[in-house]
Amino acid sequence: MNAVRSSRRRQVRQERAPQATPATGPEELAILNEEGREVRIALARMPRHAATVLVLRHSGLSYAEIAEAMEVRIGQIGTMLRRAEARFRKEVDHATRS
Amino acid sequence: MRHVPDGTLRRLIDEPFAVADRDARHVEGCLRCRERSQWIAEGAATVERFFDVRVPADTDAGLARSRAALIEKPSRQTTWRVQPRRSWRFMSASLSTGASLAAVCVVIVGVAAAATLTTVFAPTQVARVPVSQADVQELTQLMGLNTTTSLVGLRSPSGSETLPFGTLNWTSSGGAGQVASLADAETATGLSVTLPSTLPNGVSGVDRYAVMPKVTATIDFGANAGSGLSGSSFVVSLGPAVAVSYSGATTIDDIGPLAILTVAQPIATSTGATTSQIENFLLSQPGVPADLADEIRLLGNLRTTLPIPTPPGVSSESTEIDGSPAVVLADNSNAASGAIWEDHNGVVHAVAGLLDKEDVLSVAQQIG
Repeated sequence: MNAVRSSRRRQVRQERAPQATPATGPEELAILNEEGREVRIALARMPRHAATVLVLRHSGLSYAEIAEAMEVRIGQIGTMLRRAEARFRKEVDHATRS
Repeated sequence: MRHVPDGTLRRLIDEPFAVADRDARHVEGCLRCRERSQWIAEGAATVERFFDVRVPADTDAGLARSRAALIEKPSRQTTWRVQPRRSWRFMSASLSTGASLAAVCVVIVGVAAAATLTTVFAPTQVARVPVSQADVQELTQLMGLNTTTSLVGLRSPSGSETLPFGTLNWTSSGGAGQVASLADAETATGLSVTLPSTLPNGVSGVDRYAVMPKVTATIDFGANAGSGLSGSSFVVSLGPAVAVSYSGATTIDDIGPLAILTVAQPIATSTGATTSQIENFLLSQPGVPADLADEIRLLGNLRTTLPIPTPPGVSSESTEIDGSPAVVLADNSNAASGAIWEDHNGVVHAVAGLLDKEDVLSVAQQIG
């Protein structure tokens, strides 16, 4: 059942990308809510600084703003972000397989 | 040949003009770097899709609500703003200070109350006011509050601080702290606290109880306040309050999945100055953002309305909890949300956490 749901979620994501289209049906709404939960769980499993850089970036902050907020050099943000994205994908994959 | 580091390749995707020309030229001419860049871009796009999850807004219902509000209260101007997509910014600000949504609400409410209220302020309902992070920072600076220490949970401030227009004195009837049980919390505060019997998925149980005694902030207006206010005092009482935090699967930066705050209605009194004098003076202070002041004025009667600031990137809507007006705030990705309302007994409730709006409302309805 989990595999079926995961497959369905992936399908919805693929259909939505690259241009998001608004969902209308209750099934799609439920899937979107489930995805929000997936994001929270994946972030919770990540190291704090990795989750923070990911959240800050997706909140719309620039690299300079993130560097200031996290008190690191701006040159480190790209590397931190790439590693955080890799870890996030790993956590999501792990969650959808289990 | 020196290849371009992954971090620079990542920034090239988001901020191409911030990358040195020599690195950008290198990527153009280097197959290996181009392939790595493409691989990094695909990974970033995959993650982006997760963070772009949105539950579509019911615009028809929203329009109906706004029309009804205009018909019911024609004298009150309703302001609608298109907020930029900064859906996680509010949440991230909370994360960076280790604060919960509920704590943010309460402190901001306290700040807003102290900054805007009346000779006798005893709000019976809540209303939303759009603010920016800059607004909050400016207000906290104006009031001499330290954002980090003020936002982290409950506390009982003390001491005296100098404001541009007078002095601010904090007094409290005890110290804020953790207690062993709900019964202890109720005994310490005199509040009757209702907790939900059914918890949302992912919330396992109560993690801890904390209490804050009644805190009083007294502003004594000095000569800089002008002839109308000089020599008068403005007293704001906050609390007592009980905060109950829950543990569960989702915890980020010490923020649990759910927190419930129960706090006595804030009350403000004034000696020597009228309502409009205080309101006009405080809202015209250089540190109070003009937009925020306008929004608060649009609320109408601040004697009875508690302004709930709504930062950018946070969607808000009005609803009812057990017949009382409530404001529901949600991060645009629906990963974090909160609700705040004042019940018929003059007790303000806030429910917030790393939950979607439906879960938060489910908890709120149980509290009533």
